[in-house]
Amino acid sequence: MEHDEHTLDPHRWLECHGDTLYRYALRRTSRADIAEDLVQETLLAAWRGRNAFRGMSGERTWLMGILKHKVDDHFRSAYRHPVEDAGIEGEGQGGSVEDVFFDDRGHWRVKPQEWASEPLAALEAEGFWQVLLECLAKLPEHQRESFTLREIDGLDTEQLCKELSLSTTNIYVLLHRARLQMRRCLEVHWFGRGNE
Amino acid sequence: MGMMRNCRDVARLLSCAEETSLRWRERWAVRVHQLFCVYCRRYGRQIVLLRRALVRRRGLRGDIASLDAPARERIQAVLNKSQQGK
Repeated sequence: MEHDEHTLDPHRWLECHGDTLYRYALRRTSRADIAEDLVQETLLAAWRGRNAFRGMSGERTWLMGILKHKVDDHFRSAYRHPVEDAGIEGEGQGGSVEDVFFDDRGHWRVKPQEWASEPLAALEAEGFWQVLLECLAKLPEHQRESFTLREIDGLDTEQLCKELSLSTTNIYVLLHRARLQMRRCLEVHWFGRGNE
Repeated sequence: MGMMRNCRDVARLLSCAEETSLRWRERWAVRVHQLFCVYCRRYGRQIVLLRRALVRRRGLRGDIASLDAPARERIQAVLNKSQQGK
């Protein structure tokens, strides 16, 4: 083995990087219990896969990489069912998301409905975040990533381009599509006005 | 580009406006369209609301959070077990 055992100590990883990993997981999931589990799974996976660590990218980067995969897995498995139908359309080969929302003349096909009178209060209710995360989980991967980094982590467009290695134009398109779908999904599953 | 944009264009511009400032011509086109279109008025209002809620949320949690002692102990115990079983 290339590394001596001292450099690969999961207890030290927990000590030095535990909080960073935890904050990232918490921002993504909004659930302390899940975030803790994800940190634990990450450290375990890192320990099991320690032979693959080459030391080139640095310990924290390596651990964050593992955590990102764990967060993705979590979204994929935890939210496979709740928000099945309306609001989120996969990005098929043929039509774009916009074709789902707008007709040939560019008019709304899926018309935005009026939300409750105090939308901001509703937006702060605890259950809302669960629904929001479920909607988020249904987005295609790139849209989910850009929406999360932009709206939940608060990165600006420039940082987003760097993080995802995409052009500004691409980022705008992804965010636009994500917003169309997130707005609709929340309307259906939280504001309960999807059938009008 | 005519001054009259359809909802598809306006929705795209409303989203862009969250990222960058629009050209005055685009801003004007959005305003004029929204005067006549209740759906685009709602859409614009709702994506801004969504952003405001998320910004507020960001302030509430995440950046100062840390793993508490019981969580650390739990994770350490699991790591110990895994190391012993190697």
